[in-house]
Amino acid sequence: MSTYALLADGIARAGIHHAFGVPGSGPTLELIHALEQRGVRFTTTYFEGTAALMAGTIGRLSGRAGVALSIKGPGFANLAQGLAASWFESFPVVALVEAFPANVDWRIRHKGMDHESLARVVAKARVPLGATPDFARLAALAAAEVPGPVVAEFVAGDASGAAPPPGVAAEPAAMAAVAAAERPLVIAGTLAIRRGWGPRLAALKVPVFSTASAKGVVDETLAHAAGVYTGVGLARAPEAALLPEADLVVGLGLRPGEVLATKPFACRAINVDAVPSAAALGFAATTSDSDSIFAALAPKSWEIPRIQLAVGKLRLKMQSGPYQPAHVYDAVDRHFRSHVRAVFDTGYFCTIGEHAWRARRPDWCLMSGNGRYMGTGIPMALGAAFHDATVPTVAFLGDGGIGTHLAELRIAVRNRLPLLVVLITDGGFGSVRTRAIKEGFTQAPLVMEDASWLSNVAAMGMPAVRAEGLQQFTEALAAWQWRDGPAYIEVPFDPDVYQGMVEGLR
Amino acid sequence: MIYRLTNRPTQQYLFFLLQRDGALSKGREIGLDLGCNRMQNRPVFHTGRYVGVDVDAVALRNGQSKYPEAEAIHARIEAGEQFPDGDFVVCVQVFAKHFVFDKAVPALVQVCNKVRKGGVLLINFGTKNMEQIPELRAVLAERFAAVEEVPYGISQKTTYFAPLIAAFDFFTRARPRAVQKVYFRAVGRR
Repeated sequence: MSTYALLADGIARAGIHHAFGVPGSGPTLELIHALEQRGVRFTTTYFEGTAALMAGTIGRLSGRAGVALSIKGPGFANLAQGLAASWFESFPVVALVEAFPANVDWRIRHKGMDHESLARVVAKARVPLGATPDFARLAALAAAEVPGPVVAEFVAGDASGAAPPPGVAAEPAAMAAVAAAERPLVIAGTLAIRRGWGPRLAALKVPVFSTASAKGVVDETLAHAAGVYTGVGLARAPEAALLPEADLVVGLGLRPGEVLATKPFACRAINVDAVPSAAALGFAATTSDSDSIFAALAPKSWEIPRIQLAVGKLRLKMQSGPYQPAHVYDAVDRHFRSHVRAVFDTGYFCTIGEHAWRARRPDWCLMSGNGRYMGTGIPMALGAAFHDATVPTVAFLGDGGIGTHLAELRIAVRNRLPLLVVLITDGGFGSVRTRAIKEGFTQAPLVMEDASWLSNVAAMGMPAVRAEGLQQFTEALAAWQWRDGPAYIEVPFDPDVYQGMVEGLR
Repeated sequence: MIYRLTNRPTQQYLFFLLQRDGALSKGREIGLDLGCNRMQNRPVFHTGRYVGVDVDAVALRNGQSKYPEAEAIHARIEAGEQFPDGDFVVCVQVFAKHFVFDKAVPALVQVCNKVRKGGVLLINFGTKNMEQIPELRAVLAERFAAVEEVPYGISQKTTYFAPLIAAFDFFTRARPRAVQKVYFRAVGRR
């Protein structure tokens, strides 16, 4: 059996239904041929970076590493963009990359490039596929804590050298801290999603925050769900109200990459994790014994109204003010009766969205919560829509991020994906503009003369409308038949209102 | 003396709460019953005046035939200009039926605006308001000096034992098995 057949067999056996990339005429083409013979659908993207992040998103949603592929040199360089985003977000993905044989000096070859150096910064491992590739092993390596991209190259060699990271032992001090605490508070990272701790979090009676990238791990409509913890929340953020009242913070896979500021907590803190905790977060102890920690947390309780008041004050502020993205999010949630997946690109609309959107499930809310990587919205939304087309996906994009992968929307049109793209536009880089205004810097590069993409999107075959105000937006939403394919709604906002909406939040 | 009986345990529990908190109306001038229907809650009010507001004119006439001294105003509760502000305001049957999702918070703000300074508001929210409870609570907390809440919801099934079941839960303070409603007692309008 050929190398490609073996690899394709392994991918199909792993339950992977989609692979993405830009094929070359070498090994990637042969692999794609073998994949299609085994029922694994290959989708050609316009840019390799999109493919990597689409695959990574499927990895995040399915718990199994996604698959992306590229040619060597420029192809891999392009792929690296999506791998970097997946690395930031801890998305498991196996990147199958064409490469020069190990004994060839890449410096003197066409498309020559130092794959080793590039892979080192965007992937957790770089391994040769060898003559008898073992995809299950590669996928396991990508999914192991901390999940991330694994670059597997079409070259001879032995992949057994890549070792999993060290684990963490159970530590009695962590248990003792929880037992002694009267007002513990939980902050769940993405580890809680991967370990399936959602139901256990739902059963607690203490405040449960999640990091932005773990949003939805606890149903945010539950009374003790405290929303998103960023580490930099200002007065209006629930974390500012509730953390000072806690005598213990219990992190669940709480890692520096998942918060915006790495600093010790004011009170005692412990972490439940599968890898050693970062010293900078100041945990008194780390344990891998989640069962004991959940059992010790079970009898602890806070006054539910206290938690809800902190959350409610913020929501009230967002809903009561002038027309802003929070109203759009509420309208989407109501229209689909909460049966909808939201994907947020990065920008002020996401700063609002991470608090305003109430996620019921972790697979129905996606954002670049770790990297805050602008431009990731379209690839994530496409990956999500491919992964599960039984629920509509709504991608909220901003002026800064929409252009990066815009061409890929043609994939949504071609595949009639249930995807609604909502451009939240204030006509520029709102979040960057804040500092320019404050410091008196130039605003010229931050303001777009024509921020509309209406005609461009329509030209790609997507129904596209501009909705001025909530009423028009609601009507446009009602007009979208999600089973018929993608659509685009452009929603303009007053730039000044847009500037003010995050005040006091972070 | 129980002022009102029903065969629904959850509803009976609410009537017990109203009966308890009706004492707060003593010595107050204007009692406002928003969504009063046939004025069944009239006995709860010990205010100088009782003003019932409802959109159902027939129900109002029925109420007035039983309580001739009651003032009846045919209006929607959001038409605040059509009725006076109250010292003691009750609004217990309206929200889950008519003010859900994005309508709940603005409607509550309007209700709060009809409570005089230092006044009391007794208000009840139902299943359809549950997701807005944090925001609704925040509205009350901003406007009243003290806010007490009672989550409840014994059973929606009808039974002749409803008063006994509700009384048991009310007096033993047994926690409701499944919260479907939240009753707020907001005192001291700022």
